[in-house]
Amino acid sequence: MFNWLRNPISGVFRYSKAEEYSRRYAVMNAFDGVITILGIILGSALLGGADPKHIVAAGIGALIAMGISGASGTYMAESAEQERKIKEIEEAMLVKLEGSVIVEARRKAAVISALVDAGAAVIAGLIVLLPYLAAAVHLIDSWLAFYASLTSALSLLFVLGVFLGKVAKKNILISGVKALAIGLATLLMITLLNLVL
Amino acid sequence: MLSRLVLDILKPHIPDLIDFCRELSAVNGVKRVSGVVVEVDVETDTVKITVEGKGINFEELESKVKNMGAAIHSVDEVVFEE
Repeated sequence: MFNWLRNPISGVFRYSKAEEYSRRYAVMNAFDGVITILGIILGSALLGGADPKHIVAAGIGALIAMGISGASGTYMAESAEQERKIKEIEEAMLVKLEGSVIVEARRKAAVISALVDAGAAVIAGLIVLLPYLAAAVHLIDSWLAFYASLTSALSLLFVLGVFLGKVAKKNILISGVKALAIGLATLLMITLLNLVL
Repeated sequence: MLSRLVLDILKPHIPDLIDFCRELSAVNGVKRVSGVVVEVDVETDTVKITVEGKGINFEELESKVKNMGAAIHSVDEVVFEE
């Protein structure tokens, strides 16, 4: 179904070896997206609760900022790395590689990494924010939205941990629980903050 | 017409020899491509590529090699036949 997209992307990955980086960025920023939205939701719910519309606005604002900062930061860092690699190969080959598939693939790899980085954070964050979007249009009440968001955030963290365990070929359950613990630690810290304030 | 070429090529590690030979086999007039790694360096491979066919388009072959970031160091064997 997505062959028109898969073929050029697999070509870029084959010639640039960027698959590993993109996978890393996807998991890393999905984590960021989930934890950031979890923080906004927990903070506003535990410190007295807020209008779902305000939480949606704050969440979407944070996701847009994360998307832009992720895409631009990753693009600049990745293109610098890729250009350095191109120069190293050019020095070893004693020829200019401009116009070759290697240069093309490495430059596209920087763009793909940036898009994956931004996309992962925004998509993961939106999944967690979805119940509040429903609450904002009065489909569900705000407490149900809170528990639904919390459940989806913790489930998403567990799934990301399982995925990392699969990548590392380690025990996927332990890896999932480790990721879940990060979410629970966030929950604990914000609850403690609520007690202090 | 050009039917056989043996080329000494310096190429980066990527594309690997399989992708490299597969791309060359798509050149006009090429029927068979075989490759042997002669030397492996930190960033490059020296490979000996044998191209066989009928009326091999050498200009296209040369530009394909260049397009993959490689360079023909020498043409070691040439066969023309009617």
